[in-house]
Amino acid sequence: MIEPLFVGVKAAVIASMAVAACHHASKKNGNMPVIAAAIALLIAPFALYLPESLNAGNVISRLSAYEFILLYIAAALSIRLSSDGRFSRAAMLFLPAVYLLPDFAGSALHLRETALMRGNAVSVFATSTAGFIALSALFIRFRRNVLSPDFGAFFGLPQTLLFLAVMRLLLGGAGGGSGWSIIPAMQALTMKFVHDVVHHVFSIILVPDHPLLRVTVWNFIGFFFGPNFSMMVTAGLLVTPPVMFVKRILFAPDVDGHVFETAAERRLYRADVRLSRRKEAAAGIVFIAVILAAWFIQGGESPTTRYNPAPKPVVEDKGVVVIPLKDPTMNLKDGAIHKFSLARDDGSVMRLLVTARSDGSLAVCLDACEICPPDGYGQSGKTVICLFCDTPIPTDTLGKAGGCNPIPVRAEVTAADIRISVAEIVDKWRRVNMRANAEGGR
Amino acid sequence: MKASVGKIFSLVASDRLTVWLVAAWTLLYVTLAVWSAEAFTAFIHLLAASFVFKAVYIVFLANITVRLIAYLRVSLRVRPLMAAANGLFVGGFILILLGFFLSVATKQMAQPLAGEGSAVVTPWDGKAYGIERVAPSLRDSVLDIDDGDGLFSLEPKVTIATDDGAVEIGAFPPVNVGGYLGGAWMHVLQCGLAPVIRVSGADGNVMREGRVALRLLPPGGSDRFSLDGTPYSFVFKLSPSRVIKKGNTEGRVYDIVRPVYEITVVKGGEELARELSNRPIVFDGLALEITGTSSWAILDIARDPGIAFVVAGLAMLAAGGVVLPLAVARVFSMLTRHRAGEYNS
Repeated sequence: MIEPLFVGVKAAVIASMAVAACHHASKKNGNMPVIAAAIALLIAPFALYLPESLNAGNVISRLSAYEFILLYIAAALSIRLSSDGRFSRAAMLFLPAVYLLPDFAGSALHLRETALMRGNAVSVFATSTAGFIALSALFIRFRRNVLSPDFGAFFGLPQTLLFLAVMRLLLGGAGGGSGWSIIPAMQALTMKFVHDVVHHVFSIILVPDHPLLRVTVWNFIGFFFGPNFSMMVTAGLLVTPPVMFVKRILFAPDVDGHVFETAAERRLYRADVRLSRRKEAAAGIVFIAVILAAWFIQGGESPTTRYNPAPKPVVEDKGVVVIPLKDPTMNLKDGAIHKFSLARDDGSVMRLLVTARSDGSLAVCLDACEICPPDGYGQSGKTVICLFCDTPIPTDTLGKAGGCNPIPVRAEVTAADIRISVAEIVDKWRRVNMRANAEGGR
Repeated sequence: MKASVGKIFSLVASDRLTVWLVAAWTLLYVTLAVWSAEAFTAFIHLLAASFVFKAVYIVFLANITVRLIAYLRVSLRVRPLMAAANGLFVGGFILILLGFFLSVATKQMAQPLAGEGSAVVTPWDGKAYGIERVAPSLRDSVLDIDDGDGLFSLEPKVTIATDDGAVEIGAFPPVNVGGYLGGAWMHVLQCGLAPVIRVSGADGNVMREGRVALRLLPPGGSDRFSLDGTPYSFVFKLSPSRVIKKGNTEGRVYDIVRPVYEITVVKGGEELARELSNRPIVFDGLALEITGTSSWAILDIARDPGIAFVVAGLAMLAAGGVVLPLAVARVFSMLTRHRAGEYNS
């Protein structure tokens, strides 16, 4: 029962911190953020009644990532365009409702899945609610300390937006312990962007497709396609708004305090302003440290840390391979990639890759493409990544042939299993480029 | 009138506009990325199809160009080397963005198969260019770990007749034919081996004969073709002429000029035969024979004014990469001298 308790505590921590930050940003309207959070809490359970066809879990997960980007852009704009806050402070009053709704709804859906697996909905929801109430009670007990004006000196509008964004970045994954951070998703997005830009520039200047490129040329291009470059770009993008913020505060023109008559008064005034600026900047410096720490811990996926399950052996039965959709050890619709291997009498082994797209349909492909040697694919969030050339491929596009996409395989998906003709697998596997890895090309 | 022109100019030149536009582009791209799988493709389609997006893109280009010029006017006098480095970087970036835009908005292209004696026709003006020669540039043999001599491991050359005489075209860089703006850029997109096959019946009658373009290069890959009107398909793979072993390393040498293929005959998913091509392959009373090998090439022809801008932009970025360390070294040297002066005084 640790998992449901954890989900409840996590939701309460996020809610408490969001309410406190918005309270400080909106200053005098102290109760409004609490009311907004309560509204989110009341609406969220309705996610449980949404039709399955809407795929609410996936939508909420995307919403979390989207909210992070929106908050980051808003924070950057508020830092760059207006130091005194061009955005209405009143908006901060309603922000908790919008901010917390995906969290609460995602937690509710996650708890429902947990309850279905454990077969005891009452205890799962009760444990989670207890965790939520306990943590909330702790927040109410110490609200005077958390909401004190002294603490509020650290929170202006940009700090609050940054704080909410960073919290979403670190705790944003909707669900339980498995859904902590959206940093890997950010990295996958950056990697895909860099890959697409480099590929497009190459296609504009008419560099041919890569099968004929020399190894050294591919090594050069591979640097941009690889995880190290996207790691650096992601880190740069993540720390840019807080760095902008700190720079703007600390390097603002010095005040002269000319309205004061004596030099001592002017010195006092200047010291006061500097102290106030340092307090304001402190939040930004903390954000930079937290983001970099999280990035070091959770970012920087290398090919070896990508999810790459060992293929499960399957056998043919009257010319057909049958894979059950669900058994005690796996669920093909859980969003992870599943690999299967089919050994032939001649000693050759062909690998299959099956995964669910975001609409719930199953993609059945070979664990290989037509271009690269058949190293197969790893998974990083919502993308599968070619282990040979590092090309990221969104899961939703699996099943489309061409390029470095896994070669699609015709399969019959029934309510209980997937049926694939062995002839189809053999036929498609022949297209796989069997170049040995020792060749070294990328 | 003059005042309103001034207002428009100051708006276009404002840093606030840059910030808002960068935020808007980021938001648009992220929205596409979060809610659809292929954000970059969707972005390009939007830019190509929507007048509004084109207009905003042009305003963005104008904004950053005006700001760069304003920056250079001031900084070139004060910090010339650093201004030059920044100017090269930002200028290069602007040229790439401009080239990208022109390419997305105006590019026209074709990818014809080039065969000796035939002609490729540019679809935008119907102009025909005769293909005089297709030289595969294949060496007698290649090792499967061969790194090649140029940008590509095996680079063919196609000679084309133009108004200015014969022009030889390789895989890279592309060659411009007929003027930079209205003409065509051409290069070899793909190339490969085309074995000449002959399929004979049991009575010796030739059923089929001809060239089959296959993608077998670089060696190690396999390709297939089906014999129309029959249930047979053939999987081709280059067979090494010899294998070199040195310790644990193994290299395969391929004869590319007179290649030997490993051919698998498939019928309804079942393998009927697998043989090397140096003798006829017999299956189901038929015989497959390889009587020779020629090469094929696909040309990539584009009318794209963006190419020149993108290439110029990349060159400027590279130049910026050279100038920047010099500028930084100069700043450090000035700082050091300045401090030394303070301490000495």
